[in-house]
Amino acid sequence: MPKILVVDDLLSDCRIAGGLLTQDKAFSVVYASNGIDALDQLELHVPDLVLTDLQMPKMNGLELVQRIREDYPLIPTILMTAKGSEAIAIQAIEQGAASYVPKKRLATDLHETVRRVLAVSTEERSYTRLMHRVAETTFVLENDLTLLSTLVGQLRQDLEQRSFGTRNEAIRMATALDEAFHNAFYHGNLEVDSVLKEGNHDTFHELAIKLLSEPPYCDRRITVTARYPPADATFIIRDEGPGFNPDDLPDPTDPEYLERPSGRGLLLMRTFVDQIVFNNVDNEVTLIKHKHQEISQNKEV
Amino acid sequence: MKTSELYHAQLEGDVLILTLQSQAQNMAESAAISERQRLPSEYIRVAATHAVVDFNQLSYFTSMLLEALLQLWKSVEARNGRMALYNLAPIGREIISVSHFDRLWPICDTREQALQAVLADVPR
Repeated sequence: MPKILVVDDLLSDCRIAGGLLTQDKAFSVVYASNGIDALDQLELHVPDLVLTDLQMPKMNGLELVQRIREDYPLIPTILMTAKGSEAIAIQAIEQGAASYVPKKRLATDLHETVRRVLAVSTEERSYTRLMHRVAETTFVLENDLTLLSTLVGQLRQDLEQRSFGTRNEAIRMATALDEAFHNAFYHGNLEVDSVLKEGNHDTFHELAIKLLSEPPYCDRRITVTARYPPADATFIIRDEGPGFNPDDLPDPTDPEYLERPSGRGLLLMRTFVDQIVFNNVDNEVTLIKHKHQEISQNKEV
Repeated sequence: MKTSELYHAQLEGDVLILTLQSQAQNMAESAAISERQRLPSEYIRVAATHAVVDFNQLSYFTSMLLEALLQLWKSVEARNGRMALYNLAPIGREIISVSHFDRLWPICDTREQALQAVLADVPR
């Protein structure tokens, strides 16, 4: 039986909403008196849906929606709104609430709204659970920065949803992936040298744009494999260029090279992953991030 | 003064205040910023001596953006000016620090501190 957490500082309104939801025994209901209390309860027992008032002391409904969105992205929220708060309700929906029900229409609309939101949420949760069981996935992409950028976002989301570590850990990994994709795009497939940036950056970018439409550069692909064994996340990025020797790059932290454009991407990759390995022709890099045992904000699904 | 999808630029006295927009962390857009950074550099050449850069809207960024900042810094340095960064997220601070750019540009918490850092009458 789906469990609903009803949040309202007015006991009478709490009981009205709870009574409507339990009257045909379709749902079980637990209560919280404000946003802080609701977050405490979420720590103990994760409900299937949160139904919350908008105006409450300590933490209002809008703030609660944002926190649930960040910490429990798979739990849908529905707002109960009083007259005059429709604009805030729309803002809440923009920030992640699934729906809202005016308090004066609870008797007629609440049951159906909760049922509808739960149906969508159950489908999304099942899909997410299924996707979390994908142990390895491979993308073969054209040399296209927009696609690569979208993939960085997708892999970052995967890491967050797989409870791989803190949100910051996922961002650190995304930064390393971004740098690896950038290397594969410019220096691997297009064979454009960073030295060209030492004068005017335009020379570097104009050459890259020109080569994007010329064979063999235009036919080259970037292959990205993501593996999620229990203890690590491994990302293998391979371009179709002739490879380069990473040992030839200068140390960008050396004061002599600080203002030169080479080697900084590799430095950030090394900073943000636990292990980095190049293949023997240096057109494939493997980035490994160990799973950090502490704290994940997102709950397992 | 000037707004693009990558940055908003405004002048305060002879300080260029550059607010990076969230799209600047995106890899494709970061490539574009390298091309479009000539405009803020142009301000430095004609109207400003110093620059402060607001990172409030960026949760992270890549070396492409660092290189664009380096280009801007070269314009500032040519006018014997100073540059400071502010409102960086923890990962942004780490990126600047790992790259050792904090040796060139002080990292400040607020715009006021950044303005103070570039306008302070101390030997560089």
